[in-house]
Amino acid sequence: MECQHASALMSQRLDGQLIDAELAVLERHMETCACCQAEWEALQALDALFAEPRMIPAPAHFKSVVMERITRRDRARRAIGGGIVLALGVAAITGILLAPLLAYSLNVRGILPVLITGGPETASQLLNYLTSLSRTALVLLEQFAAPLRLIAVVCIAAALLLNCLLFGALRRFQRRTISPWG
Amino acid sequence: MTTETEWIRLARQGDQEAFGRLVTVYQTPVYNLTYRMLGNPMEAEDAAQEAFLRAYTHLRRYNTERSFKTWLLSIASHYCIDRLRRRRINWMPLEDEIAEAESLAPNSPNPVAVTIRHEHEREIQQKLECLVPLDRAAITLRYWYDYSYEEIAETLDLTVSAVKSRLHRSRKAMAEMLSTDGDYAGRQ
Repeated sequence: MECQHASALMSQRLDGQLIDAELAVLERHMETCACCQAEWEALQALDALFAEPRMIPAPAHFKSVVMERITRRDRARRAIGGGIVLALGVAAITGILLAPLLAYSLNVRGILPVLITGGPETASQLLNYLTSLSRTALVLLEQFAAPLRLIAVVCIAAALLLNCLLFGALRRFQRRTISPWG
Repeated sequence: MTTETEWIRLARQGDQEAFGRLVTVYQTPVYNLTYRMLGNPMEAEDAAQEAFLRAYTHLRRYNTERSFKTWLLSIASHYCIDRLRRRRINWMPLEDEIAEAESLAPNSPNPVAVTIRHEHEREIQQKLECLVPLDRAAITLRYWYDYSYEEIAETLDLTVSAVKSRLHRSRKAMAEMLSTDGDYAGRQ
């Protein structure tokens, strides 16, 4: 038996994993090998050091901190979810409100049949019309940049306020339905 | 259905009280593992908290046929291994860490016993800290949790032969360190 193999077996011997035949071979080797004998003694000393190791208890406040972190994480997730839902809702309502206005300005009902029957020349005219419309919109945007910015800020503030109200309502609802974990 | 399985089922449905019960049962095994791995009470507490948070977040992924404790210790040990790999310098002297850990422990007995235990803990922690993170985890699971080779392999995502080889290598390194310490103490 080689010393390297004997060394590997010694570790398994400490764990009670050797069968009788392996144990006998290892012991025979150690009787004739001072080096392995010394290694075995060192390993036994180490094993004694680690015998009955003490579990270090978690600090007294540990559970409450974990539960607080879990609550905070859940709350943040709900707030993000609520925010996304609210933003989608605002976008949908804006779309619903603006759709008739857009349809009217583009005169979709009048344009579509003409487009179908008129061919490429009509399409080109519509493109020109849309280009001039977007230019006009850009000019208007430049003119009304300041009031638009104000409207945007008001919208964001309103969205945040609605979000807080929604979140508060959710929390009140949750307090009524779920018991505290204590 | 066992109580633990019931708590896990309820926690999966978002019941924080049920998860709180699991924290109560496993807080010391998880904290002890993170402490043995990181050697610093503050870091160990943070890592143990993070392990529980991850367990809560990924509770749906837990396979109920496996042991919950093994799954939890697996999360904690992998987190500590990552943290140790990222950590470059340990600013806190070892003696301060042990003293801090002792101060956190409840019911201090007589001063002589405390000093002996303090010295014993310091020696154990010193030996552990000479090992690479994965070996440290394997040794901790073997000695503190009495895990079999198969359980260590499952916890650390290793093969059984890799566990045997890591335990052997770690013990050899620590035994050599212990012999050197003994020689040094003998000369003094």
